[in-house]
Amino acid sequence: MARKAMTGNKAFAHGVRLSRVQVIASYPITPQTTLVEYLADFVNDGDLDAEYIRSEGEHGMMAQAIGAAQTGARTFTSTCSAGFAYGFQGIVSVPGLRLGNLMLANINRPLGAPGGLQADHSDGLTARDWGWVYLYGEHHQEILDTAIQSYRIGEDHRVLLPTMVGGEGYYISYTTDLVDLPEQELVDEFLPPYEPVGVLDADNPMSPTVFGTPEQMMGMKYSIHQASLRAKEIIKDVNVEFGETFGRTYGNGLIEEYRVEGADVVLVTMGSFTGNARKAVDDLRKDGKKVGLVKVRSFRPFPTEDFQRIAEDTSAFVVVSRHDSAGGAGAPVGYDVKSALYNMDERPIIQDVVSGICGVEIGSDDFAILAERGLKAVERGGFEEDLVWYPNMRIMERFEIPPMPEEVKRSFVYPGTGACQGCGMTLVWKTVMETAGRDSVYVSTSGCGGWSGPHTMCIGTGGSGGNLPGGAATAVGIKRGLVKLGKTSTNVILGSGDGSFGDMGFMAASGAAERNEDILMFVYDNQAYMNTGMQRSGATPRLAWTTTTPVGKVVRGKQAPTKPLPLIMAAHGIPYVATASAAYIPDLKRKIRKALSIKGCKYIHIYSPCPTGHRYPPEKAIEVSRLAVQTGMWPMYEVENGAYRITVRPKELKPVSEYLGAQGRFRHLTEDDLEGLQETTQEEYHHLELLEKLTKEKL
Amino acid sequence: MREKEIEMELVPGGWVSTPRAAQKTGTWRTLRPVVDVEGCIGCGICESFCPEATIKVVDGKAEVDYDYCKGCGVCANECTSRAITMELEVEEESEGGDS
Repeated sequence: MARKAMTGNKAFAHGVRLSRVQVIASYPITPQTTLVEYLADFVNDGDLDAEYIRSEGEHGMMAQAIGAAQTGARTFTSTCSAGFAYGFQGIVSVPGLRLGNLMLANINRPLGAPGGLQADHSDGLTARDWGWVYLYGEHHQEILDTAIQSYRIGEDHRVLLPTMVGGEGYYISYTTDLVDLPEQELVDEFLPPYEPVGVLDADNPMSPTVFGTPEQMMGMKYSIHQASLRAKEIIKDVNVEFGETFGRTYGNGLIEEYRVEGADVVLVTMGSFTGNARKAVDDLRKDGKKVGLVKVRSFRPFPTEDFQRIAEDTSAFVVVSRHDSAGGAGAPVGYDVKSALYNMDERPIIQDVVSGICGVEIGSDDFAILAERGLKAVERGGFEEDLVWYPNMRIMERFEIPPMPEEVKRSFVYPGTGACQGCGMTLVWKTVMETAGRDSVYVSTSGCGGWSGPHTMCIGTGGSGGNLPGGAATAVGIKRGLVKLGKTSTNVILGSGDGSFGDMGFMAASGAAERNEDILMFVYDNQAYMNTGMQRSGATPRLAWTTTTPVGKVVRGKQAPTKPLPLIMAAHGIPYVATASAAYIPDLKRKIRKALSIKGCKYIHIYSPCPTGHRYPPEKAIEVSRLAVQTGMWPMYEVENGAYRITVRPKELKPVSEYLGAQGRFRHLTEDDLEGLQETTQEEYHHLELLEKLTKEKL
Repeated sequence: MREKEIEMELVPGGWVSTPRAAQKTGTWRTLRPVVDVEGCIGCGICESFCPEATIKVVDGKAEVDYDYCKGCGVCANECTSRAITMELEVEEESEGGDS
């Protein structure tokens, strides 16, 4: 057994590797992204023999995971927050399909508006009611061990339910801790290959029920409920057996009790802040205060019997939920604790506390304060309030918004964004908005352009943040609203990254184009998901290094070619499509002016240098962008009512090696690779020249 | 032990009408663009390529807003008159520091 220091996401990835997962469906979203990056490393280095799907979004990702699991392959996927919500249609279906061989990592983060990045249980808890076995890990070792245990539990024929393993974003995902890496042989013994009940197999045809009569559906629902209840014993048994093999157990598998004996007040927690609560218990016990702690490890199935047992000897529970239930009578974890105890003849008093949500830090002192409140309530015979938020909230609402100050109106863009040095996105966005003028509303989507500044922080026109798959749809809604209110002249401009527009958001973009909605959509194409840390997108060029297409011992860089977004958009027959570049500002301005003079759906696809992700010094951003055009790797053209016209025509194309050689992401290319890329570049450029020739008479 | 508190005044939805520059990003800088006033011809190339809107031509000469300039060096790299040089930022002396 090797003991190594690693981040929580790496520990989780090792758990997945050691479980000999056969199919991985992945999509980047902070803070789970590095987990799937580590798995990409394992696969490309040949350390894990798995099919690795680099998905176009979580909706597809969940469907891919379901499809894979239905073949009987052991399957892994991972997400959080908005990604969790986007995949929800798939997520709610997995338990009903009884895919116990599918595990979902939920490295959590707040869900809903306004967006946030840090620890919060609101994403995973939305999947409470569907039949997932939902286990929470407190620390790195537990995350890894639970990953391995999860398949043993889920694949057990008495259970056959998918497992979700929760771990806190940031506290777990990015911090480093010492972890014992179990030996593969022992894991193989502990976790034998899956023996599925039903599978999709042409040699033995069968199908699951995907649509049922009311009675059939209710019957299947009840069987899920029963299986979930049965899972309690399996989780306990697996915990014991894991201990026998690896020397570690986690309470009784369902809960972990800490100094509960003789405690008047018991704190209840779930997840990583349990460590802080444990210290609070130690501190208070030193002062002779009778306080204990229960960590919920299995949220579903809920350890009802354990709480009933502990309640016999306890005066008060203080249940801390890292999620709220707006307008509810309690908070999510407390709901279950109260339900479990209500029919007891005598039961402790209970306070629900909403705390540690949205990444707000809650330390051991804070847990001590909450426990002390419990002790006082025991003395008094009851809590003053059944439900409190902590920290104590003093929020004043006002309903008047002062108009934008005149000095602010003088400019369109303001410095101070969170974008990297030499960022092409801010340059593109600045140029577009300055050219479009004041009668504009800007819509950003999540990504560099959504998070690092524009819409509320640094833009002198109003702007909204669309979600990742729905940017174009948000713009359409804004335009239609403005039209209905008589503000027909206002430009509605969507600025979106290549990943959000071309992969996940393509359905909304294509819909807007098909209906010829009167909006301008532009993409700042930095050729990968740069905001989450350089994962490949459809727009990533072939052979480029990214964090999900690493240059490994077995596979080197992205294997698929670039998705030709401008050509696809042009194929919709919309009135104006153009490519542009951050290195050709006057050309870009001209294209924006032209686009905005046309009624209907317009699309401009703009090369946006990314020194951080493309790997070169920031001052080279424009120089490298210029080379993209001069080598023909970024052809500049416009398509007006179906007629193609090349707008920047280099006299002679430079060799592609001049552009590729300037970037670290192509450092690994061989002579053969370069030759291949030279050939396809010439072919594609020639194809464009032919299109220009063929459509000339349309002009 | 002091109880923690979150106190704020807000408009429902968090609507704001003033762009709020989140941070004075000038602190990110390790290299500082210095404009040679003699050499600058006021062409505006630097202004058009500045990713952060921190360099502007004022009265025919380029001026840098050092509160926000991140020091990427695009302006110096693109200046056709070679009138901008990137110079190492000199750290202000801190009290008692030895670095």
